[in-house]
Amino acid sequence: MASSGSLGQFEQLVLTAILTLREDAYGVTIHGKIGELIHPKTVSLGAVYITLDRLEDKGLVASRLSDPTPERGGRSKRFYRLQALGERALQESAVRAKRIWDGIAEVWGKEWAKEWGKRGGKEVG
Amino acid sequence: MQPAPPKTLEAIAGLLLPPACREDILGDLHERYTSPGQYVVEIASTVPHAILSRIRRTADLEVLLMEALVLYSSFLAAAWYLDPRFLMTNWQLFRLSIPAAVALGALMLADAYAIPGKRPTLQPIREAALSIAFAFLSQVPLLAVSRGLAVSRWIMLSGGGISLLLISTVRMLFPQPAERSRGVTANGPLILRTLKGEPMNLSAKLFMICAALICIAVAGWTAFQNQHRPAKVNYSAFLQQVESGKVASVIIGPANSGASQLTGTLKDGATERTVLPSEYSDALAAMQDKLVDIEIRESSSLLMNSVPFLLLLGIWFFMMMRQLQNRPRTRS
Repeated sequence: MASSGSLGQFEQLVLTAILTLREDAYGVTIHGKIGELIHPKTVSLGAVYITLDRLEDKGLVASRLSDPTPERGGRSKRFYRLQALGERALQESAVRAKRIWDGIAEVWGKEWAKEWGKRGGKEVG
Repeated sequence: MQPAPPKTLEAIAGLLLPPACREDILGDLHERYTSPGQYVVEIASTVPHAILSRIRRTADLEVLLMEALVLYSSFLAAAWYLDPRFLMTNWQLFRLSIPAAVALGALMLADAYAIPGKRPTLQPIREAALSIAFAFLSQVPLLAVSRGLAVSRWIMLSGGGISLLLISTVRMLFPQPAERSRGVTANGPLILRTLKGEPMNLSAKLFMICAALICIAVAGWTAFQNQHRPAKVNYSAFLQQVESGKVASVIIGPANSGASQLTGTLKDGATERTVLPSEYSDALAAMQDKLVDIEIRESSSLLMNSVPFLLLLGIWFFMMMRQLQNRPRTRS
């Protein structure tokens, strides 16, 4: 069975964006969703494309071209969806992040964790 | 009505983007368009990423290594054949690597910009010719900066000719597989698969070993020649030695750009060399006067000099014919 390998931070963001966008994950929407996730930082569209290509090469996502649409000057969209390997890699990343969070909360206290949990939620929302 | 980017800007972006990702990226840029300035900034930040990503996906490390060896060996062989003295001076091996590196970069770009799924029969020759044209162009800024940095015209022409034949042959022997049309394979891009240590095919290994051996042989022979070359003396010092009766025999080589190489053996057994001017009747008279044994060697014929090139041309023609014969027939 192929290994999902470890993901870089930006790869985790791109996979999360594809997961949350479900059927509407293509260049522009993925870039927009990542912008929300890393606010107030910004990221270039080119960096998103190069990461999408890399994830596709790793077999974590798959892509397909849609029919051309007039609002895009008669050009197609390339839609992305998570593959089983991508889902597993994202789950592993989430579990790892949870362990880090729990480790920090154990030292700095539950009040700190609650406070930062609320802040994080507000920033993303 | 949604604003649309100016047609000219869109056409420029279309030209810059590799065909494999042109459709979706142009569509995304169109959708995000707000003003010409914003569009230009987006093109400038997106196109380099798209090209790099395509190069990463299409570059095959095995073939790239082969091509690098072939290009460098071609220019090295041309320099060795036409002007061995060129290789004796400092930095000449580095100077030869400049056109080879530029040609290799052009080949990588040619792969990145190849149209997925389309590979005409003459494509390998076209790509090889393009890369050699870039190698020639690389000499223009070098000539402008300093003549010393550029490689001589004849070495460029001969090295370029040999490279053209060999690179197109390599590309015919190891074509890009159809699965590389979007760079995707089951196990990732080819460059990563090679770096991960997946096995090379046997012909690629043999080819690389042969090319590496040729390079080592040329470098070794050059070093050997350099070590065992007779000491160089200037023309006046040589004449003085002739007149003082110290010279036993001389061999005068064929003229190259008007000047001839002379290798002399002294009566004490030592050898030395000098360059004779185009008119050396004085030296000849002095040598005859001192009963020096003179041997004049004629230049080898044009046909003999062309044998290696004709051999390469023959191999290339054979490969080309085989490629044409193996081409799938679309019409019955």
